[in-house]
Amino acid sequence: MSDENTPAVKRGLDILDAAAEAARRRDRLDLVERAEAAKARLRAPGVTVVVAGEFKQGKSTLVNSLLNAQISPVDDDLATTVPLLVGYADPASANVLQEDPEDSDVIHDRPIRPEDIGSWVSESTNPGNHLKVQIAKIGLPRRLLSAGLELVDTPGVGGLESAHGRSTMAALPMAEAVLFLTDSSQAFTASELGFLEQAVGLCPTVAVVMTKTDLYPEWRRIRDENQQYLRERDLDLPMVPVSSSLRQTAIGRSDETLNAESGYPELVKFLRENVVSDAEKTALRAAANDVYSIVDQLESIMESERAILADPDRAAELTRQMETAKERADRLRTAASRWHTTLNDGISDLTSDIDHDLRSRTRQLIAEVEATIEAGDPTDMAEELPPMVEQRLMEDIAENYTDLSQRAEELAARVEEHFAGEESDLTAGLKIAAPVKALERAGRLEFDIAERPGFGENLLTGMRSSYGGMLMFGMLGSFIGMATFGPLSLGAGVLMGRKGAKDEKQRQLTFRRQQAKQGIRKYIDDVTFRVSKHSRDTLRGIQREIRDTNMERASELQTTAGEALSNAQRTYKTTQQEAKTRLADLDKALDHVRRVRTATSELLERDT
Amino acid sequence: MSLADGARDLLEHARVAYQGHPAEAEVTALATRLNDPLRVAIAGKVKAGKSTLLNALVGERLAPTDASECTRVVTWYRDGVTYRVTLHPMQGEPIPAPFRREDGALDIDLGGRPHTDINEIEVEWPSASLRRMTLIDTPGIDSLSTDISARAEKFLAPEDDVPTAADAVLYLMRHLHAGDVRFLESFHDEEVAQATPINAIAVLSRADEIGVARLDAMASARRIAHRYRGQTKVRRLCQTVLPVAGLLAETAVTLNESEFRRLRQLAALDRDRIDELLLSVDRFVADYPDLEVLPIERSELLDRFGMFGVRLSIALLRQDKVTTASQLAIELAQRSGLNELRSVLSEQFSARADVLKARSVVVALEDLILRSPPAESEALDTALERFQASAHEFAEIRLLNAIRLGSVGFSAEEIEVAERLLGAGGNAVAHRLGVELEVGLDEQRALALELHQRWQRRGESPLSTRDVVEASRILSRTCEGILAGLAAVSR
Repeated sequence: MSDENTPAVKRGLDILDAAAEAARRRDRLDLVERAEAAKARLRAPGVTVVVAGEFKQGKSTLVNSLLNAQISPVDDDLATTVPLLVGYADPASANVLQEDPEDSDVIHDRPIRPEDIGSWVSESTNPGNHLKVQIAKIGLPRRLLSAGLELVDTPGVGGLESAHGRSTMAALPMAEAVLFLTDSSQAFTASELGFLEQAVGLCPTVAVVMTKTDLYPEWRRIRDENQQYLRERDLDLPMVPVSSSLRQTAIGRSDETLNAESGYPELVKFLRENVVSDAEKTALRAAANDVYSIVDQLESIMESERAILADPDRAAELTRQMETAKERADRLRTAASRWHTTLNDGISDLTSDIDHDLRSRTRQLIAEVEATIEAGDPTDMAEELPPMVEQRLMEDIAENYTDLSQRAEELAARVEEHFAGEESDLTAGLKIAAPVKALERAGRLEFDIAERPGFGENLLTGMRSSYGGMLMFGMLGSFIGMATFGPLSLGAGVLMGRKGAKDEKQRQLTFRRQQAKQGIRKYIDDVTFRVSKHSRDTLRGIQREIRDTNMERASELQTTAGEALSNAQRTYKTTQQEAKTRLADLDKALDHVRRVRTATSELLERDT
Repeated sequence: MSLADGARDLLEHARVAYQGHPAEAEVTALATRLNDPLRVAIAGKVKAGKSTLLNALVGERLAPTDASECTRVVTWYRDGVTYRVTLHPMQGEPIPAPFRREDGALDIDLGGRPHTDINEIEVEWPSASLRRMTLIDTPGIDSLSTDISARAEKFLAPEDDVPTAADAVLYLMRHLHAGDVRFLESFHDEEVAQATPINAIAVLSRADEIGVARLDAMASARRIAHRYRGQTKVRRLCQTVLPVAGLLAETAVTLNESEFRRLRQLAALDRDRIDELLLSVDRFVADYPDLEVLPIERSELLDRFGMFGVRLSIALLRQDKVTTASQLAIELAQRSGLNELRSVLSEQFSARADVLKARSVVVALEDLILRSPPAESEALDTALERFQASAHEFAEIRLLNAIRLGSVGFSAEEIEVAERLLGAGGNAVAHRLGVELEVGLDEQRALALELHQRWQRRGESPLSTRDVVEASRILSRTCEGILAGLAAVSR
């Protein structure tokens, strides 16, 4: 697995090892555990790449060819109906998240055989997704995936302007990159460009993949035209032409030249160098945060002990300061602490704001739809109105959800900042407590906290997994096709032509309008109800994640402060000879942790 | 009185009513329209292969085709005594335009006018195919230049209830997108007499690409077309869905000897060698000095046949299924789906041309009366109403439409029989009765009698709802018409 990691990551892993070792020497198993968790995250940073595009552009084929596996069944006609997540696992494993047939709020996580995955996601065996699968996941032992890459094959049914296209939008804020597929038979259509323009706003990396270059002699001209269209819209997007059929033949024959012709090596290179490496940088910054935090804590314990040993006269004063620091750390763990209040208030504000936003959006949608129905005859709209409603609703939900994710991130940062304030108070107390020149703390004092990566970065990386963004995406998909009026009774009106009694026609029309309005309102209510439940659950999950992470941090700080205090108290009983040996040991250990810090700063400067 | 006679009679009333009226010329134009061939518009999204299919139907490379959007102006192709191109500008009189043919395709000189100034182009071309139906090439919808897109929509589905200039439409699509359905819907407007799936046929154009140019691609496309045909949404909008490999069809009807010779040379290569060439377009046109067929010639083949056409032709040649150019042409036309499309066109559109044209004329006349009523309109109104009420063909169309909308309470089996009887499977009497053309007259008569009784009983049943009663009445009248026709033939 490690052969997939870049030198920077390897170096980061080594540094984390060194930090863990330092913590182990001081019996701080909590900090050792933190270093280990950071290592796992750094090794596979979790890069989600959404594969999007109009249907029949070869999305499933691309995923299959990229990984040399038959994951999604490829069919000329039938399409993928369920979003499929492909990630790393050794040995291969798969599961589906399936709605309970009785209660749509209950989701079952069912393990399935990896070779059966196709039958859960394809229209041929799961028509109209009657199995109610929200999302299918498969893990495969592939080198490309081992660096944390996760591909999402999206259902492209019905075109980008449709509700399915909208539900894909909902997945974009969760993703690190979008691969947008368009085949080489023709240049971008208006709806494709529209999608791209929106995607660029929602996702940091968007690339265009032109498929089926083996079939269209004019593909180079189409590529140039596409580039021209992008330039006209100020979209600076990389474009990779590929041929899946050449790739598959090349793999079958182990033919390197043909593989190069397929364009796939370019695509892999793009994923590695642009997508995975961006995620890697974020992961490195997060790992550095962990190292700093571990090193800071180890250092402050040792510093405090050293300060007292070096200047026993100030022992009483220093001990008092440490007691204050410990009290502060203790307080961090209680429910009354300030960060707790910020978090709880923030979540409840957010919950009600998001709910209110969703409700006012749907209220407006209902009003608009009802006005449309009033203005005409529902019979004429039976085909176009429900998809229109679906699409508008998906749009509203996607925006609402994007809002939720952004504000949740802001909240997490706010809580952590607040928390970080407490933490720096703690260390600041110690710093003032040990103003001894002999400690050579110059380097430490120069180290400005602002130089560090943004607060909240670690929490965000952890939080993304609990977002349920992909789940939301899957859930949105399951609403599509729900909005039907049922067979509208036209009565004999149509056959009677214009001679029908006027009153009777009017009466029937009023009845049809009522029926249609009720149908639409019920659909919107059902969807809103489930989405708002999902949002609440998501926010609860986010709250739990933020709380647990910060609690762990608080408990580490408490241990640190406690240890510093008990060390200080112990030094009262030390003899001079013992103190001398102890000082030498401490200097060595301090030197070790400082070197770890320096290495981390160097790594950050060079590689991120 | 036949429907065509009835329509002529109606227009005679209109002529009288509009004598000396500013709109007199419009009435005269309607009379001409009734006598002209059926007007069939070819519509669809950008790059759906509209011009290519038009060429295949005409049997000549007439409309320019290339990989970028090329039809920018609505272009009429009609039969003429001589070769002539006329520009109809947005403002002013029609202008004759000079033209050249480049590789067969027309290169029309707009005389420096921007295409936005041209409303329509009219191409008159002596051609047997165009004598049967006038074809109208339209710009693609979902075009990136919105004004081109808007032009197609304006022509095919004008707003404000202005009737369309086409009597029927061939709608080309690559797959069934939501946008395609929306478009087909807009072609049908609310007026009961006009909205009908009877005048639309959907074509899965570029059908070979659905199966990514594999040799069995057309079988795959046929399966897909069959599935679409069964969908209620599609059935409401069009008669049927057919797969056609447009480029292959065009090439099949215009294949020349030198192309055939080159294909034969390629087919004679080693199996491995030819497989290697056919892997991708880049390989197919690459510079191999040892090959007799030059890269430029191979590139031309690719432009004409597409990857599927090249693969298919070479496979046919290697298996000795064809040995001459004309055999290859016949085989390719057959496999492209063109023959099937032609026969459906003649069954569904040509055989019903009178009904479709009469319908267009009635709608146009209604619109004219509304827009600029004649001084004395009562007699014309009465004639119009009488014609609409008495034309059983219109009632049939309305009923077929209602059935497809799912608003008649028939069982699935009844729907099948009723649709067939209304001519959904072909306008010939035998087809309406659900038997082969060869079946004897006596047997046909017996069948018609049986059906007549069946629908009469259904209409009289106290359990039938009002819509079923009404529908059954129309169906039994259809049977009466068939019986009268059969009686006339036997005499």
